Amino acid sequence: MASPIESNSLTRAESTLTERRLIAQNLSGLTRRARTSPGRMRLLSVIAALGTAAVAVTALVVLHAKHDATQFIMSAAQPSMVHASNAYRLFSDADATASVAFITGDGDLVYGHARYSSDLTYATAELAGIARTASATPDIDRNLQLINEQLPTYTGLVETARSNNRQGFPVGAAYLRQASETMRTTILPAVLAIYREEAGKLGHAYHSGLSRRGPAVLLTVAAGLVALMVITQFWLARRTRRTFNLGWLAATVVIAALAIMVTGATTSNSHNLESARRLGSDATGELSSARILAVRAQADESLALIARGSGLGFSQDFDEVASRLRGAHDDGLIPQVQDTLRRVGAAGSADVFGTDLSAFFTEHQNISKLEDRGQYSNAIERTSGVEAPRVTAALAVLDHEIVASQARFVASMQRASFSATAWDAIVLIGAAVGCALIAAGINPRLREYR
Amino acid sequence: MKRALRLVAVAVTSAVLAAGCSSPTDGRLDSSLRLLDITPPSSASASTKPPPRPTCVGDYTRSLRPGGPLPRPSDLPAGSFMRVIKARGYLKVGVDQNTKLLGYYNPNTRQFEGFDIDIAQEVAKAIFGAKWRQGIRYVALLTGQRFTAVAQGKVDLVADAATINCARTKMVAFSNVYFLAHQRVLIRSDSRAKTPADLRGRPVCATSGSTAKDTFKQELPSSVPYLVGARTDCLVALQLVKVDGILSDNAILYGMLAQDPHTKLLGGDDSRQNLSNEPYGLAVAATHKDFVRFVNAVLERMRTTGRWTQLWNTWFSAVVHAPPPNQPPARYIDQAG
Repeated sequence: MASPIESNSLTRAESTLTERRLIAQNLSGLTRRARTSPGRMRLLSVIAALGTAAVAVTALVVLHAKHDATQFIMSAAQPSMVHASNAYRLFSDADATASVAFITGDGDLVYGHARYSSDLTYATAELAGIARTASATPDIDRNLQLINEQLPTYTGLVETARSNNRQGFPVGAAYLRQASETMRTTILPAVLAIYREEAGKLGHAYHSGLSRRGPAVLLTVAAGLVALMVITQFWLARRTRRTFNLGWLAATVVIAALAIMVTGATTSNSHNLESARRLGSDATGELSSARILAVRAQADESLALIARGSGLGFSQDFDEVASRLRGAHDDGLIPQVQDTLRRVGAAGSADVFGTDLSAFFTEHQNISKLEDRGQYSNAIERTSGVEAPRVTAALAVLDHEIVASQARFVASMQRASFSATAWDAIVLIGAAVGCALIAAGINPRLREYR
Repeated sequence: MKRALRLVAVAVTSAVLAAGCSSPTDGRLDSSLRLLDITPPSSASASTKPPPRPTCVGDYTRSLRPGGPLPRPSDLPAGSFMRVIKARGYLKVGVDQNTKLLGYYNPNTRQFEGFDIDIAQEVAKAIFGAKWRQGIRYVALLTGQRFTAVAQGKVDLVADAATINCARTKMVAFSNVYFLAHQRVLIRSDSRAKTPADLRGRPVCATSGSTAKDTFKQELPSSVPYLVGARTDCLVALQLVKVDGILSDNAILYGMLAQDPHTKLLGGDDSRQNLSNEPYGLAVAATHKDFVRFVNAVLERMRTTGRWTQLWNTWFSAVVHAPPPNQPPARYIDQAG
């Protein structure tokens, strides 16, 4: 008599053996049945139904990926990027306003104060916008905190510069230079870090939104399924002596139509995303950079005129900024922006902007010449009388085009966005209809074998 | 049928592989953002290479003797540089625009003003006479450019608190000493410091590249140097309590006193507290010897007419509570000793 444990283990071994045998029998049964015509029909129908489900699932995954990317770009990534870009532009503008006012005899910022303080007010509002929209990373938090710490230092230095200027004290110019340095060495780099991080997120969102991998997988799966179903129908036609299986034909058409519709939707989405990126986001970034650099060049010129006798590097900074704007062989930001403006049909703006900025650079040379010839007062009069209006005109064009590129972004994104729920319904209904048609097409043929 | 299925499988695999290579972003946004990343100008002036120490025999502040009494504006010697200036229509003077009382641009009057400016105007008067106002133009110079600007003819004359030293006499010619400045320390009014020793361990500001650095070692060896690029930056540092004192020439510190009533000179107006002698000269290109003699004649006339003392009173009497010093004596190269 074996012990219970032994008998148990024996039973288990026997049962495992039995299971294996059963599976083998079933498999051979399946292959045997697949060799018969009705068995093969059933098998192919199951494969076609599973394929339809696979097409539906792929379509849903692709549509949701596109939808999520589109929504993220529209409601989070681009707004954050624009907030950061605006903050950078406004802070540079405040810096330039204070400097240019100083050189044009408004060192007390009587006339410039409205623009200077509205720049700072709006810039802080844009920072609040970043805090609201940006998915807060530790880097962004740290930079926002740094800006909040440095901003009172900056405004304090500007106010001290004002009160000294009011009394005609040259130390006012030193305060202004230090204010500008605080802006340029602490605040602006912190804003730029945020700007770049947000632009990076936007770039990733576009990348995933524009990815062609999903639609390609969908098309391949659908093409494979359609091919399988067409081949099956040729086989059925020979086996059943009927030219068409209406159910399967309709199912093929439905599946193909579904795949084509979804592909069409994603292609249209990609097309609009691409134009939102090129004509909206990229153009906004490009135009903002041009505006920021033009304003910086103007501030540099003023600070260089103020800082004579002090050995400061504002003239070098001007040259650096000018070379970035003009480029060595017409490859700078100005020709690039002009190119973009012409592509969006704003050739007029491109011309005006180019003419005004080259007039600015010509005037800069005239002013340097006057200064070298010892006509310092004339040089200063020329900055406010002749040069400043050209810069203002160029900036007005850029501001207008920045607004226009934002509008193009919004329009393209509206065209790119679609209702995920509506497409869920279309895909699921399409798939259900496809499966039903497959079943409806094969059942009468199977009945003939009974 | 099997062959057809295999074809489908091949098509699927190749399509999936092809889809893997989706187009990368062209990075236009990023490239336009990268343009904004500029290393900002720094306030410290570019590091100057260590100057070779030339040697001078005797008193290097001695200058060229005037060829006689100052000629009348209508009587300038033929072929002289003064005639060239007159033919051009104006005298080009290199000045500073941020040093109150010496040379600065007054944003309210839109004029250059100060003691140095007035000295240059005396030279313009001697060339152009009554119409001298049209006969002078100012070029604001970077401190480091002063001597190359005059040597290269960008300006005819530099009147910008230029201390005559041996190295500089190798680059340009100097007039007689027109102002004898002394290095001093400016402190806040509420400071209890009485002597430089009281600033032991404390930060004291000076302009980098100035002669003040040498004075630091001798007079303020235990203070902490705080070097800035521009003279006025020191006043900002003092006002923002980043430093406890400014080491500079008294002529420059007077201008700071005039801008901030809450400052005082360490040791007050006591001349025994002077830390160094800084003989200021007007710089002229070494080739224009006739012009150097002419400028020295102008300085001589200022002595006899009392104009020098008058100008000193105009600019410094409000901040210096002592009688005006004497105009520095003329010392000439052909003079013995």
